[in-house]
Amino acid sequence: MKYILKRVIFFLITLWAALTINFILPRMMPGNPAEVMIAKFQGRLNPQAISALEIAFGINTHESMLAQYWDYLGRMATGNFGISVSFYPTAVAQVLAQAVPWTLGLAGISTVIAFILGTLLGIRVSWKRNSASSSFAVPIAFFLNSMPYFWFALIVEYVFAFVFGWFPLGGAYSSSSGLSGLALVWSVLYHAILPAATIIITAMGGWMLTMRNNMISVLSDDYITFAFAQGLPEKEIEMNYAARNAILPSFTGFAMAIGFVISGVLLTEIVFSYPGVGYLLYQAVLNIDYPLMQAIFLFITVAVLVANFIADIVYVFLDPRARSGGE
Amino acid sequence: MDALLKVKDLNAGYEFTNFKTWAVRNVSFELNKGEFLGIAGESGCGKSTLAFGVIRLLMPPGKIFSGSIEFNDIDLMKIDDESLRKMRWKEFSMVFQASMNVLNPVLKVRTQIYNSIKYHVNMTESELEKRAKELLNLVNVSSKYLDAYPHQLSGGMKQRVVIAMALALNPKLVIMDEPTTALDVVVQRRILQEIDELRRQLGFAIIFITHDLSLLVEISDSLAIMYAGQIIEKAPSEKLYAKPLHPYTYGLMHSFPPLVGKRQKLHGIAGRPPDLSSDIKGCPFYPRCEKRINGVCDIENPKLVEIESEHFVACHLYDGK
Amino acid sequence: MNYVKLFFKNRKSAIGVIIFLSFVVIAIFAPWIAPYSPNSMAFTPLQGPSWKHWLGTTAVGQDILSQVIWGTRLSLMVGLITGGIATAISVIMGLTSGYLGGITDDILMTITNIFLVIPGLPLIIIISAFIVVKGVWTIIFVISLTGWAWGARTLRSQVLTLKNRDYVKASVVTGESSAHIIFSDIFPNMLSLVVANFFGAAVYAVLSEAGLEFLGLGDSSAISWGTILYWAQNNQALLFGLWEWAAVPGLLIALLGMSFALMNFAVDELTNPRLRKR
Repeated sequence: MKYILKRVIFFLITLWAALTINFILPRMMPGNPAEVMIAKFQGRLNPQAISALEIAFGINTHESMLAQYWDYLGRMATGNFGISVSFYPTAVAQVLAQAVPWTLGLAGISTVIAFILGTLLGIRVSWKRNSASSSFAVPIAFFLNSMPYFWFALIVEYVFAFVFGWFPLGGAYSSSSGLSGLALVWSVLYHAILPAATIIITAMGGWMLTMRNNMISVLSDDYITFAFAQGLPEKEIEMNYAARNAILPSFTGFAMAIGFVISGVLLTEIVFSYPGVGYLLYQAVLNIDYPLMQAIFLFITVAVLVANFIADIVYVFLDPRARSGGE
Repeated sequence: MDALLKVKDLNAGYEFTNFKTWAVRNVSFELNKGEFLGIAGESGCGKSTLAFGVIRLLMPPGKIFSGSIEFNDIDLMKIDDESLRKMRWKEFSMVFQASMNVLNPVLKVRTQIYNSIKYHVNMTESELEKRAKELLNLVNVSSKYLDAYPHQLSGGMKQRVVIAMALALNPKLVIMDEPTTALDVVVQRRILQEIDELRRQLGFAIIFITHDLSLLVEISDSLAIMYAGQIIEKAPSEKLYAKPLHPYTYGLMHSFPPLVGKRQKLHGIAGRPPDLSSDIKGCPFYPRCEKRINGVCDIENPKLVEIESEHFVACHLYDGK
Repeated sequence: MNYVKLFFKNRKSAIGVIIFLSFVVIAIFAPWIAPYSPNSMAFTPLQGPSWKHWLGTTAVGQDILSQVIWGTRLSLMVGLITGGIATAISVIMGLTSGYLGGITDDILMTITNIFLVIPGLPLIIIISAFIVVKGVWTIIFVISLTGWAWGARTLRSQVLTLKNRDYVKASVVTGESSAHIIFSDIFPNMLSLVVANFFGAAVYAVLSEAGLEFLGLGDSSAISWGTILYWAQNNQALLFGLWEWAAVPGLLIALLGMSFALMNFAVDELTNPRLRKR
């Protein structure tokens, strides 16, 4: 329980740090970039919106930094992220809400699949370390892992959507109107296959290499030799003795790994014009829509924190040593 | 007497990409049913490699290079992996160093004891439980620890659990590789006595590996001394203790405080054992030996020969050269 | 130690080193290797590959092969410099936090963990979006700032183990200064880990730089593999069937990243006896 409490506190501190970064960044930059943004949208925004933006980015204000900060935290706590300038006059929260389900669906499912596949492959190649397929799989994983995700997405899109025409070039569902029920579900799945495959293939390499290293490290542990001495079947040793222990560091190193995966998801969405958070972030960047950017950054941070938190819980569940207080 | 284990000309060691070490060199010995054989030597003399080698448990890069191992007239070097797996634990089991993390940290003691049984004999859940309790009882561990995880046990308790597991299927041979080394002296002695009692009670044979000769003289039937991968002396314990023949054995005995009698000044053996990755010409102990015969000991490696009944020694001082 | 020798004998690092050195050679000799000036717009735009232009030309009539060759310089430089800066931050954070312990350790490690958890690319994107002046140094700065945390954490745990070694304890007892202990007793013994870390950070830098430039957050007038990809994407190179325009720079990024990753792994393998090839 103490372990979980510690994680909750860390969760809150990190959230606060992300909020603070959002607050400080525009105020720190020479020649407040928000001012440039406001100037650009001058004609299109009404006076109220402009003054709201000015407050949000600390322009033309006589309030002290601390008072601004306090106001800002209050606004964030109430979910008031302001108005999106590029989707004016829609509120940022609303714009974001439309993109979130797509990303959660795409990223969530493909990350889980990539984790499972990569981990299983990692177990296999380390167990059969000298087999031909292992010496084949490891260099490939290295290559996949060092690939720029967006570039792989481009190639996948080019080959399977453009050259072969097997899949749509982009989007999340067919734009032809009147789709409903099963047809809609099918259309959504059909559009998700290529981006999902991109994420799975690129993320899998990383998980596989991690698991392989963990396994190799665990295989020289004494309880493995002891398990062999007991004449346990290989499958039992491989899964319940080696893999069961080797998977633990995958959970403690989850934070960094998930960061990479998220980057991959964002860029993949951009390449496939998939209407999720990544694509939205790209549009926000193109249109210098700072309020939207900040909200997206916050959302992604929270999503990663939640994912980490889940990983922590699973870890506690898997490692009896973490359960009884110690680490 | 019936030999349970016959080891002949065993060569084993570790194979790396660019070099090889011969940690066990031409070792031959026999072990009778129910016998308690102690194997002693400094760390790095190959005694653990021998222990793992005789039950074919050397993990890569460890490897048996040549030799034969017969267990109950079955040639362990020739049988296939599955038959070997089935023999393990049922015929021979092993207790590792207490300092090692031998128990799987993520499984309950119960599961680990069950596993060591259920892949060899068919038992129902309740039979397994009964047997597990019986075993813990045997090594004086309360059966409430069945549902504990290894990290919740003390070092001594963990080692007892491992010993209990080793006895789970009534094996004919239990190999113990420094099973008490990491424990404190009091616990060490107690566990050792318990092991010996269990042996008398259940009748299994023991090969006990240690670097601490004094630990064994009182309880083992016979003792083998290893140096640089070879057995250089082997004899019934009393004989060896009363009259060590090899200069190395003599030195080893006097580098530990005696169990009985007056404390005397210890004198260790000067020098270091040879590098086991190279060929050794002559007697491996030659550079450190106080009684070496130049022109003999540095030329030819002495063979292990029976000088008196059951007293074997590999030393040119006794082979008439 | 003979680690250096082993490093070149290890198949992984040997391949890594060969790839890396090839890029270094290309970067140094770019002016002689490249057939044309990378900025010259003297050619027919949007041509496919030909004997004159192996990789074709851009939308404004530049020779893509020449751009790719010149781009090696910037990509390599960003990878190395960023890797170096990020590693330096990791070393400072890791050493200080591990050696001093106590409350300093708690604070520094909390900061490190925060940087570890806050997703890198979105943070990089948002920082770059706020920085008005775009350029290589901005990119280096931003990526270094976000890429040091993992290294700091691994180095710290190494310091903790080294701190308990006898020779370090001996120095403490004999009253050596902290600086002396850190730099002559601890640091040399974690050099391999620092090197491994450098390679790891360099992979991160190469990939992040490419991603950032691809999004148009870099200096799109500079010539690097990332900006070539950016222009390729902006001109829909793939849809025009000019796939070499996008494929080649991406492949090179992957190769450079892989060479760093291989060297990183090899160092790991050599110094961690458990991973050593059996």
